[in-house]
Amino acid sequence: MNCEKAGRLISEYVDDTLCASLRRELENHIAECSVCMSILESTKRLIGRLSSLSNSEAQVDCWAGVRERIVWGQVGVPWWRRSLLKPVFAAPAFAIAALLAFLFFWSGQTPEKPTQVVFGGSEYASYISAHSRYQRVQAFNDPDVPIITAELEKASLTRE
Amino acid sequence: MIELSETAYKLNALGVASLEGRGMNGLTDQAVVKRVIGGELDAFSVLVDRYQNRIYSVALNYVPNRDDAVDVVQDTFVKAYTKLRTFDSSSAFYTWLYRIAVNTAIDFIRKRKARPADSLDDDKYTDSGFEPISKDPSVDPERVAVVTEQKQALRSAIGLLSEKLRTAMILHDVEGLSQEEVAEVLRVPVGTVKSRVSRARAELRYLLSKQLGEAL
Repeated sequence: MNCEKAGRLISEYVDDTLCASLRRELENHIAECSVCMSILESTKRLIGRLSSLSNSEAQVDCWAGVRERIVWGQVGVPWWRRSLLKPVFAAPAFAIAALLAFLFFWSGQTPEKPTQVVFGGSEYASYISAHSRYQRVQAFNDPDVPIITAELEKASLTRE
Repeated sequence: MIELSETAYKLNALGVASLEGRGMNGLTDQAVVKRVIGGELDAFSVLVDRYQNRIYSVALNYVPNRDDAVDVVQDTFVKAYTKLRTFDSSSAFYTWLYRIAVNTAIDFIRKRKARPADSLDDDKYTDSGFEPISKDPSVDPERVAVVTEQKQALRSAIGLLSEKLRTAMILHDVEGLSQEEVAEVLRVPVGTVKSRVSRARAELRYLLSKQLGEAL
């Protein structure tokens, strides 16, 4: 055994995990090599100091804090359900729901039955005049236009 | 059938009333886990009481600040509660918990962007609450100061190790877990643990010889 091999085995020797044959071989080498003996001793001291770093006497009481975080942090609740309860998501969702409800009920209202128009009245005159050349497209698509036109023709015939 | 610890069996043999009526302290970890999964939140307190000090000890090796260490402990248990259904009851609960604690501590450090090595003049190392001062008149204060300095140098050197070597060393040499337990915590072969511990010790010897200017 040389020093290089011994150096690799010293850690396991200190942990007592070497097989019997390797342990004997290492011990024979260390007995004759002061450098490896020094490394062995310093490794033992190091392990002793490391074990003294253990905070085994440190005590803490965390249950109250853990419980609070589990209960109020909704640990275990799906992320989508947690998100629904956050104001940043809940407020817009509520607003959208309110708007949809309003539109639903508003569109569901029955339209007022149109009052019978007194033909020749100023209402029709203003209606027709409103269908200027800028609004002819709208008048063309207006379903009331045929009725109005028919009434006009009827009125003109009546006057005659 | 609820599994009882050896202690519980002994007490039952002596005619002591069943522990069922006296609390869950005699139950195994797996039995408590079953209860928690079944909806008994307060049963989780048994596991917290059993392991919080050990997890706190591990956390202090990563974040010397006590308040931060408490945060790490709480984060660990909250994560453990969240993932309790994924716990494999065939393995030991504490190794599973240690794994969560180590990962939580490492994540905590990364988030805080802590420097790997802190100055020996850092206040958190001289905080009297962290290093309890002995009031025993027979204790040599000079000796205490030397030991304190050596511990500070040791912690500083540990902070210079790579994450893998540091974790293996903390779990094995500081916390006293066996190589097999460390392998289970880190989910690596036992040989890997041996190698990491050996390399960590060699690097520490070198770092300390440079810092202290003397052979360790």
